[in-house]
Amino acid sequence: MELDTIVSLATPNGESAIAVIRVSGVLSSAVLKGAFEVELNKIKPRRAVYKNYNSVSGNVLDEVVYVYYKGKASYTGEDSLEINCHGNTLISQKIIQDLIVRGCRMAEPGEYTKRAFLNEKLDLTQAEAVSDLIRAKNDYAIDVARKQLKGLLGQEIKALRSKLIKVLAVLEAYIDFPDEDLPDEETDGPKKSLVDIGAKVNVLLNSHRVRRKLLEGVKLLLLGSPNAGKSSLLNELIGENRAIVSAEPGTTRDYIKESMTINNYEVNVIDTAGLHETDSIIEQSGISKTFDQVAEADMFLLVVDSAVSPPELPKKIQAAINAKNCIIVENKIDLNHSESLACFNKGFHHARISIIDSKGINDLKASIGNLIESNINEHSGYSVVVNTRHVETLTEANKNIEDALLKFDTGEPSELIASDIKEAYLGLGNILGENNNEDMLDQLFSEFCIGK
Amino acid sequence: MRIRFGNEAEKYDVIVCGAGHAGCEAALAAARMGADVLMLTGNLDTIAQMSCNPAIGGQAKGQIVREIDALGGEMAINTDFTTIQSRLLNTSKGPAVQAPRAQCDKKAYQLRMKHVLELQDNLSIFQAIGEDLIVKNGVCQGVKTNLGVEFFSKTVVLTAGTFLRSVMHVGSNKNEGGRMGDHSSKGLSKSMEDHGIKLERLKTGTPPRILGGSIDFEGLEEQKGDVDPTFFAFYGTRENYYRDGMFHVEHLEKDVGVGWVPGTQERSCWMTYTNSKVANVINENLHLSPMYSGIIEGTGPRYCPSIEDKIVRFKEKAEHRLFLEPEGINTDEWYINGLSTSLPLEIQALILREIPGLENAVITRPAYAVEYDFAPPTQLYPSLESKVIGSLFTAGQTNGTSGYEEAACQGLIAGINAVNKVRGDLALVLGRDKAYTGVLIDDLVTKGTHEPYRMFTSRAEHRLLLNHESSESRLFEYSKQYGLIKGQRLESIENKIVSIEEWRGKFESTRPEGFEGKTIGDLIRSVGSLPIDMGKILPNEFSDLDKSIRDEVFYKVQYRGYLEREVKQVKKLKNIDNIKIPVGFAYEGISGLRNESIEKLTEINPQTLGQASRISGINPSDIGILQVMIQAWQKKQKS
Repeated sequence: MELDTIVSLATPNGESAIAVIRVSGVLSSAVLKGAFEVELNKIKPRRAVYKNYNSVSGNVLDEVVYVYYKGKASYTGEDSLEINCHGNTLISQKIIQDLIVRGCRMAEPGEYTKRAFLNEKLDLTQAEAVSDLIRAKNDYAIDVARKQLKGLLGQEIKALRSKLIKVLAVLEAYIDFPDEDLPDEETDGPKKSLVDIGAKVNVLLNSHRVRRKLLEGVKLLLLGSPNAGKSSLLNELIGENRAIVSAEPGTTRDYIKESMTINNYEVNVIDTAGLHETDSIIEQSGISKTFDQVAEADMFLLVVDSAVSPPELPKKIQAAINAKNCIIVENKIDLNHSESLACFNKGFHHARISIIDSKGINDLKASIGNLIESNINEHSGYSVVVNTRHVETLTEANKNIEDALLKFDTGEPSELIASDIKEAYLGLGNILGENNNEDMLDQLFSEFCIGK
Repeated sequence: MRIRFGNEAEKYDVIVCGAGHAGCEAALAAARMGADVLMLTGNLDTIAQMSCNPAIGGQAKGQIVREIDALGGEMAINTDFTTIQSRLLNTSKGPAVQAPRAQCDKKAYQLRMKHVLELQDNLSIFQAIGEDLIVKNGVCQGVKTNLGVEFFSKTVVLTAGTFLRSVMHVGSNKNEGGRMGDHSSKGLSKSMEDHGIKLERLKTGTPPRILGGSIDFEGLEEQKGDVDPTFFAFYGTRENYYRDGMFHVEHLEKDVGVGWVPGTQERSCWMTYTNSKVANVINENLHLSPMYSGIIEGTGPRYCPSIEDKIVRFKEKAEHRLFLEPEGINTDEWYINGLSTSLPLEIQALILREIPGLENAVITRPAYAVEYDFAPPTQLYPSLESKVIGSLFTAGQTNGTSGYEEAACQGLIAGINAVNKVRGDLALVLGRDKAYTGVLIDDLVTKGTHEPYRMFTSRAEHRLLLNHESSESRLFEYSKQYGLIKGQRLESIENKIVSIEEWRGKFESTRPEGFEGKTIGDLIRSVGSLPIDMGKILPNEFSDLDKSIRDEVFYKVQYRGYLEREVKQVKKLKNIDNIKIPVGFAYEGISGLRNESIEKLTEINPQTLGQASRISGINPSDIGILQVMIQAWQKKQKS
């Protein structure tokens, strides 16, 4: 018995030099013999063959080049075929329809990768990396996805699991052999191992922030006094009039968020309410929201009016910004011709701009680019980067490990500690796809594109 | 009733061949369910013999014995009434992994069990050595003895222990026999093989026995039983034995002549240690051990190694602990726990001479190793019926296990399922979340074993649900459904369960004054971190309840979070446990399954996807593929 043979277009729909059609499953004689007049046992794997594609009714649909991949040596782990036809939608659709007549069915999103997972070509983290790799928009994201595809995350998880098992084995020995003359039970060893494992889990958890920056975009917060020109700067950066601009201070009470791309990095620019003492309740709430946003942001632009003396910053903001995550933007240099404002906080990069004269905007963008690069590079110590699905499980596992450690200290029975460790062990297995959960898999692979 | 033989028309429902710990439970369970049962044994005087140490229970095994009691078996009560020392193990840990263990008077244990068998309705016992299985059309229909007498039956439960083609070793000396002084059965092995059952070899061993009068106890460490002993059987639900927290001598089973009120015949064990001199003797004479000279081919129990094994494998350990255990109150023979060996008798004597307290020990029986056939248990269905010969059930060492308790629980299930087979009822298969017995049988039939299989709590993935105290309520649905427990006790257990649930609910909803609105449950769970006098909080009616009820309520409340976690895990697994693999489903040719996986799945022929997932070497992706294929197969069948 076999799984269905699936087919789909692997390249984007539309005019192109060539289009690639992918087939995976049993390549019955109906496909090979019918379409290419070749027997399965005669066909040489991994050879490009130039041939006519014959339809069921005997018409030549196109001149194509096909490559056959045998069994385990294919992407999916089962017999596969790649047909390169001319990049005309009409031709590729005709060939696909003919393959369906020959017994294939259209592939579901991510079905090729799901089969690769089922056939043990990939573990679940590697399957996810395939999707990440396709979506990666910058070098760093590609690098991270490629490492995960190589199985680095899988290996780390497996290493953590085997460490957990070792701790468990020690505890279990004392539970199951109460009458053997084992050396006195000591908890320092297991405790130390657990602390190490917990630290590693935390490193993985922290790596998620990098991933968010890479895929969802860097959060860049605009800070400054009312009417310093934050909203105008946002508009200038984005290149369209998204934010409401007004001469009256305090117009931006809620966030305004826009996306742009700098150096291939997605940047979410977030405008905030102006920072000043105010009696207006609406504005006060705006400012307290700003504080929340500060806590979540990755980088800051502190916009100051170079014509007036710099504002006194709230303590929370002073604490959040530093030379590594913030640029001071001196606006309105058209009004102030002094070369540079003697400004607070040395070490910050200062960008001098005039929005009205469109001066210094490109330099500012370049500076933002540099800031992102150096910020991302700070995380290059992470060999792997986890996604939201992993974070859920790792957070759970981290809690189990903390619970176990706490129990060592309070002297609770070791079978309960073992229960926590086992739970962490099982949880980590989810990351690799070890606990068969059809719903989870369906959900996961449905986020793939068709043909992958 | 007269013994029926030689007449095919006079079939028994069940013949149990073997009267060890497995055979006794099988015969009693079948007879108590009302089936017509014959028990055959090569020697009526060795019924329920403790061939190795004179003790029942211990970690994981103790839990099994309590399960046996919950399922209407005899081992628990037989132990309690012949015990000479009771200890609860693991008291430094939580209740889930605490286990009772008892030293027994081994002769009293045997005699009482024999008497119980004799008094059992619907059960006949007869001395005869089974030599041949009567098999017609692939179905077992009885047993032929070495005297050529044929006994016919609808089902056979074979519990042959170490007797199949058994050879005993003392040094280079070899003797046929399954136990010193007993016979070996070659015919049964041949008969099984002739009908297609594969057999392999295992090995086990036993230490020397010595006279107590020759032990110098001076300077040895004494090990006494618990002052407040934990028994194996549940007495809170038995009117006949136990009332008002007291055993009543006049209510002991009045027809059974052997046994005493549990806890009234306490004896001590003693501890001593081996030393470097012992290690020297062993190292110098290792070549004389048949294990090391290659004469013994069977695999021995890793968790119960011989002393030469321990010396060789754990070189860094300067001493190994030995327990001196009395074999009974009417004998002076002592068992040396930890000194199992197959070295020659003269070397055994040299070893003893070097051990503190045993310098002048007088050996009454030598230590020996025994090699025997077992039938790898992957040839069994989860009911313990053979996949090769229909209506043949096997249990105990024949299935590759080690230990009286492991044997007894299999015997019990085999006996029950033999009756179910006769009646056309569904087999009793206990889940891994329901009983150690379930874990054991599932491990055997799914994973098989290459060494004598011993139970551990860590083999049970839902260990916290399997605490020994909960056996009776946990297994109630089965003892009721299969008629294993009847009458007043059944009613008492039902009441007990209701009471436990009621109090558990009350504990979680009652908020005593002065504790910031916390429930009794909250307070129980925070004991240790809060100085609370529980006695003042608990209602008086609760304190009046039977201890077994109070303990279970406390356990369920205190460990609520953990128990809920395990229940959640069980539910997750149930998803694939509930997917039945259709009869006739072929693994051959499924693309994506590795050849090894196809071979294993075909050999074990699992009943559910859950069972398939537990086969060693079958990995999650195999299960993923199978799940897809089973759905496809079912769709195809429908259309």
